[in-house]
Amino acid sequence: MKNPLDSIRGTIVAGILITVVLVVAIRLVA
Amino acid sequence: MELTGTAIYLDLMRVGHIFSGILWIGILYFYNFIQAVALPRMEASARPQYQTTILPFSLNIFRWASLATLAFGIALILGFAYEQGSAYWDSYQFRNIAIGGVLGIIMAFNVWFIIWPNQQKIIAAVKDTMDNGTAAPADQPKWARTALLASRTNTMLSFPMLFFMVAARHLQGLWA
Repeated sequence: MKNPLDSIRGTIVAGILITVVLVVAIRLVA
Repeated sequence: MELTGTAIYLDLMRVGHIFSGILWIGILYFYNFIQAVALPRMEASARPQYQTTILPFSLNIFRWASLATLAFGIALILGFAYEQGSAYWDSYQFRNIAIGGVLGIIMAFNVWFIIWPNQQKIIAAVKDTMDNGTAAPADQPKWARTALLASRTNTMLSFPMLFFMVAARHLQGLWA
């Protein structure tokens, strides 16, 4: 698997994904 | 609204936290979105000049801004706990800031213990090449790779970090 941090685009996508996953997880659990 | 010592203290800490935070993340975004793309386009013979003047100067502001952001942030949390009592630790503000704060602490750690030491070695090597014509050390690409990955990790973490920082004041419904 390619490291997302190898490109700027991958870095931004990974950052947005982490944010969305955290927010959805909190909304589901809280 | 009463003008209390606590309110003045919190406002001062807010100004410090916001200013140093924007300075820190602004330079981080400059490194990642501008320098990383544009520096390779610079003529190879001109790059060492940049790496030994602008880079160390901006890195100094960058790392001290990260420490100041952290210090003002902790001062804010302590101030809120003093102002609101034990209820603060169970509030949506604290839950959100705890997530954003932990991410911020990881990022500041990356700045001080991974990015800065590796960049210092690179700058010293570039300067040595410029001044004495010494060949670049064999480890230099490794230092650059480590610093790059830590810098990109921080850029990636800045997204959730900033989201939860803002959510601590503007997203009560997240925990409802």
